[in-house]
Amino acid sequence: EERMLKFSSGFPESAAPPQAYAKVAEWLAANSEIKAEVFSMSLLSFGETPAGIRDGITDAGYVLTPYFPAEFSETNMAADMALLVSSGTDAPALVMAAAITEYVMLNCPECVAEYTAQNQVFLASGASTEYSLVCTKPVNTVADLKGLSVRSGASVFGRWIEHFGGTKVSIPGSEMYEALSQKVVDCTMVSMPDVMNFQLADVATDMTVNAPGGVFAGTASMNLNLDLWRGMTPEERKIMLEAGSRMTAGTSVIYHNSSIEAEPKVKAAGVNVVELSEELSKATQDFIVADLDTIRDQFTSLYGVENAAAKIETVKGLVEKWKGLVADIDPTSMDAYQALLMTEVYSKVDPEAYAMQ
Amino acid sequence: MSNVEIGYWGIAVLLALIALRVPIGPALIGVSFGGIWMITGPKAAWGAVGIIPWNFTATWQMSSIPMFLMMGFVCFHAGLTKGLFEAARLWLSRLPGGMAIAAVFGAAGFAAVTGSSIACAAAMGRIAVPEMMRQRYDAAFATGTVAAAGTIGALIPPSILLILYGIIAQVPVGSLFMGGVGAGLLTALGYCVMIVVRVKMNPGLAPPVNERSTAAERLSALLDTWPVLLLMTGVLGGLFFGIFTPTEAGAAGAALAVLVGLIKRSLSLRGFWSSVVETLQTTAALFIIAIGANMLTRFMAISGAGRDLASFVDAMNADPMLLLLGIAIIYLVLGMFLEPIGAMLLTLPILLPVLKTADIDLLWFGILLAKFLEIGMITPPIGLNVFVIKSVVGDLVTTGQIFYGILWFLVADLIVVALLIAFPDIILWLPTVMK
Amino acid sequence: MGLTFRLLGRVIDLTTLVAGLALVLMMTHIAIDVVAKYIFQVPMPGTITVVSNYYMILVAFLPLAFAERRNGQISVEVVTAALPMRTQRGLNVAGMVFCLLVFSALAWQGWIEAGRAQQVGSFEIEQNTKLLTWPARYLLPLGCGLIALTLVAKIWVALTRRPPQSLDEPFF
Ligand code: NA
Ligand code: NA
Repeated sequence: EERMLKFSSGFPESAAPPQAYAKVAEWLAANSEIKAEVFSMSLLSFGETPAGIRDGITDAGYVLTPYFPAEFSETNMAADMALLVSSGTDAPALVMAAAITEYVMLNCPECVAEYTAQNQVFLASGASTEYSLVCTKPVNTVADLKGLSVRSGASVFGRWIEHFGGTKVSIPGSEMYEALSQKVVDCTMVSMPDVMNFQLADVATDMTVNAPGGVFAGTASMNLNLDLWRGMTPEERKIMLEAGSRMTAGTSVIYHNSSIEAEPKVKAAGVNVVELSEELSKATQDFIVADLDTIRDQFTSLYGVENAAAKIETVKGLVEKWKGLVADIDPTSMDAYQALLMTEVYSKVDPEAYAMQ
Repeated sequence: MSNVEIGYWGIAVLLALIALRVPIGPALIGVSFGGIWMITGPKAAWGAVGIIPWNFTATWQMSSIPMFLMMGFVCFHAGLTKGLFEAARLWLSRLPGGMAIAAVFGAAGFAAVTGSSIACAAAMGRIAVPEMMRQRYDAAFATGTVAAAGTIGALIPPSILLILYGIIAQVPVGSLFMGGVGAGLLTALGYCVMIVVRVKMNPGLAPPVNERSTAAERLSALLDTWPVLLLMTGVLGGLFFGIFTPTEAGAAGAALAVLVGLIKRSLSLRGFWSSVVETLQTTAALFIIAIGANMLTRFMAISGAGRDLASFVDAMNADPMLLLLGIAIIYLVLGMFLEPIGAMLLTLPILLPVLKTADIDLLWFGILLAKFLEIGMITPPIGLNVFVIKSVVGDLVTTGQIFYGILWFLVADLIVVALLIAFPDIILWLPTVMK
Repeated sequence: MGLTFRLLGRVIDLTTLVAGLALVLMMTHIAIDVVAKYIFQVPMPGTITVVSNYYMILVAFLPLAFAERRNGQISVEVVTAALPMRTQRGLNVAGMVFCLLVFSALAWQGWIEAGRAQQVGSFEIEQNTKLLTWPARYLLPLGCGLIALTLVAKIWVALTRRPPQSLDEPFF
């Protein structure tokens, strides 16, 4: 049966997720009766996407789960552990995206249930590259962080800066540029590609790469409307699962590669790019271990997640597993990573049963 | 019927509803609801009605709109802007059409403390028109001057139009604000030149003022401009020195206006509450239109009519000048009928990709766009500034007379637009220096 | 009928007062946040969440009925102005019926969305505390429902009042 699907994200067309959608649409057109049209910003904003998928305004959409703490607390707990990839890998985006995908689809029935409760099914993840401090002055020691005001999006980054005596400031991403140029904040935390996307190189002078590290992993990058999913034949669902593996791979690898491309541009724009110092790196690693307890307590008491300790152990194990697997492939190649995702995760998902009750 | 056809029919039905006097906001919402229903089905249509109004409104950046509106209304009710006009009047009375020039200067000053041209026109209309009529200025000339001068309100920062444009086009709002200064001042200059030329040609428009003022009077009038100067310095300085962000600037400005009004002892409780109520009414009326326009853009996206239209503009892409001419004509036509924020939300999703392909500077274009949209505020048949002036001055003039009085200012506007296109640095110089 | 109108009028006055207070609070809250951040380097917790989820909804939706009562909705009169007064009155009633349908739909669907948000218990986390956001969801259907009632009253007056009044002045 020929189908025409709408894929929708709140990103501008030039960003990694719409590019990955376009590749998925291409693959679907060549390998199935399913066609897809990609909408960037024009159909649904980030805040509207889960409800838009639920009501069928779009067929599939890019959901940033941390925007919805009440709806997606199970996924968010795993995503909050992203600082675990700040060491031990050169491709943190690939490691964390795969770990989240495997966790949600194979290890966390509560995660699947929180998506079905919103009338959608999780088919793919994806992650940004490592987060770094982008500042208007050099920052690379524990002492530098004291009294530093930093704009950060995710709560875990806020805890990191507060742990070292700095102040976390909540400012929307669209106002980062002004906030930095007018010194409302000393630093902002973004990934390398976003330094270029938000034109921050104009106003920043110093960048400390991998401080604190970690990626944005609260990403359900291709949630499909549940009625549509359940109305598909098992063969169609199998095709959509493979499409999901391509979306996870596409998003993460495009982010990874755009980070590599952005670095020389950031340097050419006059920003002094330095690696995280030995001292700050060590202090950060200590913080990460202690922070897992905070995550456990917070998600238990504030979000009502059950068995948080056991779940945290599962995610830790998956992160370690994928650090090993990703180390053996070329992280700039979508194909190798996607093949790995198929064998390790997607081939183990049963198209007859996944999200069917 | 194909989806694209449904899209075009939707536009036709919308225009018919608006012509039949259905309020613009509900007309936009109703048409979008029907269109999405026809293309995607009832569930998606009801979903859009449930999701979009909340998500559009419950946004931090949007909060600056009611705040800047409130700042303007407080300034008016506390009489903070009166001194500015008085000073301009005393200092400029010897010039041909000096009072009219004073009104333009007054509007440019008020523009620095208000975000919308409606607020600017309303305030200057209440202050300047009665004064000009007392000096036996021609009624059409006097009201036309103030209606046109009001448009400077959305060019010189702060500006609600520029904030919305910055959010949609991802251009830093601070840079847009700096860019608006050049265009706003050039517009004011253009209007002043036009006033002098016209009064020279036809002295009957503005009889010479025989009022003589002493140097002491003129100096003391200058001192009375402190409230507006303080507000301007406060808002622009606060932005420049990083005390607050553009979104926070609205609230900071409104609070500052209230404080100044209290210090001056000119803001009564009654005046304060009038400011609040007028802000609420304007906010509610504006947001329902913006929500409707926002829903219409989704309908256009789903139907594919948006892409279809964009490909039409795309066809002119070969020559950037031709493209700009096409865009100018589109906005002059839309501006005759549509309210500026709606016209902008409607067209930007279609135009932005085209502009990016044509490699047109989005900062420069944003200011040009604001200028186009503001021209629409004073063109017949629907010129919001004209209606505002009419409602302020009452039976002194007819709406037709005001439109007639504006004609020459439209000529000045076209010259200003040509200059902005020929010399982009008029807009871009200040943002570049500020970086 | 007189009593019903007076009652509706008082409800609109009350919601306008609440919206006005929200507007003043929003200004004060943001201004204090600016000062606190600049002078004491300590932001007021929850400013962005409260401003966007509560104040904005109060300020944009609650005064709708008030604006409608004052004929404050923006519409275009130029095309219809030349028509005979009878036709203009007919169009005016038809336009109000159209608005009534639209605002009823907004109120109805807004109510359903509010129920959904209440069921999942929507919240945001600020400084390790839960800030509930679902109660604010009910403000939208409240504002839209109130303007729908106002339109019913205006349509009633337009159809029954003799002699018919001018279109420009508020109906009640
Ligand atoms: Na202004
Ligand atoms: Na017009």
